[in-house]
Amino acid sequence: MQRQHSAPSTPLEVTDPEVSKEAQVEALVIGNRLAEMSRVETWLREITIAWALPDQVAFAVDLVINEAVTNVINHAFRDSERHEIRIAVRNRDDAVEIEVTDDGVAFDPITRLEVAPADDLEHADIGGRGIQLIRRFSTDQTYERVAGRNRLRVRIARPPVRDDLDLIGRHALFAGMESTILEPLLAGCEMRSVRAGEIILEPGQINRHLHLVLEGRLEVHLDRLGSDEGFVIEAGECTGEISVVDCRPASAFVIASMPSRLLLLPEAILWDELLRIPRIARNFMRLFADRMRARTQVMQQALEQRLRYEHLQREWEVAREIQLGMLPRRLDLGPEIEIDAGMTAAQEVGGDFYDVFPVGPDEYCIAIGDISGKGMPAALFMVRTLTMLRSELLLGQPIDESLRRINRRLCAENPTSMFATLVIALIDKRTGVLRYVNAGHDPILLGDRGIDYRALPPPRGILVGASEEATYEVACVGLRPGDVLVLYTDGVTEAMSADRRLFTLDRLLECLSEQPARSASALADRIKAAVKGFEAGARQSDDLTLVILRYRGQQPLV
Amino acid sequence: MQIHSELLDDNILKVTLEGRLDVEGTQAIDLKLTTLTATSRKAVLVDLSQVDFLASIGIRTLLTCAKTTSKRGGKMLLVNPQPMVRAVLDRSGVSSLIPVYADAETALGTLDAA
Repeated sequence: MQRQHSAPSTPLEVTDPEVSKEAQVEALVIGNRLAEMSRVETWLREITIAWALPDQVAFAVDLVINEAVTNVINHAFRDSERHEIRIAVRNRDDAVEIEVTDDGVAFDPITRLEVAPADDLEHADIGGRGIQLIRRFSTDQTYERVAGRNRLRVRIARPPVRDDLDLIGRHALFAGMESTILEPLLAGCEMRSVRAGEIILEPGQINRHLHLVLEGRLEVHLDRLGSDEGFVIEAGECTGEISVVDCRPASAFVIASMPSRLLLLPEAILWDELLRIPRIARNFMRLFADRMRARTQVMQQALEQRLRYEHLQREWEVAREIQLGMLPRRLDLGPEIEIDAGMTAAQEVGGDFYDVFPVGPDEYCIAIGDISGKGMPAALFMVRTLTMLRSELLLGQPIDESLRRINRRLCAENPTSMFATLVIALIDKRTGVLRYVNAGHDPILLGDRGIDYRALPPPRGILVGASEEATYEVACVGLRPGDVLVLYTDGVTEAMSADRRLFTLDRLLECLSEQPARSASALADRIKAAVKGFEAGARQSDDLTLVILRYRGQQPLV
Repeated sequence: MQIHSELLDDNILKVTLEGRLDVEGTQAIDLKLTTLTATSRKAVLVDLSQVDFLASIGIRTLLTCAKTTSKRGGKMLLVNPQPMVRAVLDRSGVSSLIPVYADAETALGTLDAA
């Protein structure tokens, strides 16, 4: 007999060096003739005795090797040469592993279709049952084509020991069953102990076992590991039932939340033996229904959460529209002043604002500002600021006093500690005199005859909402016909490119001075295009607001 | 692998198989069993109590012979298989094609009832 104790280079040992130290491994090499099967039989008989294999396991090992090897001998070789087939078995605590290797044509017996079951003898297929038997008498099968060889690995679990039977009998699937009836049914099933955190199933995994939770607890996560959406599987429940029923890959993560003991029922045993017993079939349906109900509940929660979010989203959109609706759109300041004002809103609710309104027969107020922060609080703060701006400016008091009062009122009621930067300017359309105050905002840009742009030095003043005691200085400049004023927010100068550079004031001045603009709106379009080009597809992170004003001076009466 | 046969009456043949129905064992009894089932009879009782191993090659022979018996108007019955052999018959789907009985008396009883 060509028996050999396998060397460390044998595939079975290479895969799991840790266990192989203790595991017993035997290997046999035979020729590709059916006559060799008697040698296999003798070899296996000796191993069965030496390893004291239980009858059920010994039978399954015998059967699987018989089917696998005769299959190879009969079908793997297309020539008349002599070939070798290597059979190896390994004895482990929980299972016996079998490996059959041959250099025949590539053939994967695992994914092959089984014989269709026939209803009567007349229509039944005579052959083709070998592969079916390999599957049904083992717990796991894997096939690989390695270096021109077929390698079939089959695992045959040791059946649950008598001590486990009580535990198994308490599971809901076996409710009302005698343990004496149970024992023979469990041949071919596997007890498995899992550590806390061990993943038992993951989406996409092919699952051929019903997992009964005997002790411990599992968690199911539908979308990703560690997500809150999911449910718990307690002892007495099961998992894997859906993929066993619909034969599709597992759809969720199943993870042990504490050390647990599971019983793995191969689908073949479940269908062909267990579910033929009415009581077990009913128990199974009940478990299945419970599981479906738990799943539906989780889905419902997820759906509700999404609807709530969508509802909130819609409310925000409405708020955003109201906010934008407060900004003036169509502006007519007479023939002396040509004006263009607009805001390009970022995705989120931002805090930019502007306003233009008459404060006297020849005088207009022009304002621009930016609230610190984003979101709903910023939007509400902006609405308050805008409202105060209008009411204070219409009182006819000096502009610095208006700003001082606005600041005091904002400070008085500012639970969320928001700030705003703000420029308020008053322009007299007859004289072209511009008086302005600045609460920490970017300077006004003046384009001399629309050609040479510079920043006007901002008068002293800090942002509003920060200190009740703040006071503001007023500055004044006389405009000549053709002069252009540009008021902007940092959405322009701090626009960011994909490589995280800022647009900057220099680039804005450069853009303005490029060439004289035909109109205020043409100039606004030019700036917006330049910013957009600079961002080059990067997401606009902040509101972008521009107020551009061209002073044309007193127009001769026609 | 051994095969014995006895006529229980004119119309019922009892065949007793003994040993392993693997490649070698099946080859040893295949011709004899086929011949025995080729004669027209009411029933062929195959006693499996002495069979301690059954592989797909053995299933093939059992199914072929059961088909032959059936074509000649008879019926094949499998009797008293050992638990693991019974498991092979169940898991291969054979037991839904050829009736399997725990003992000869029950098997014969079904014939009388029919």
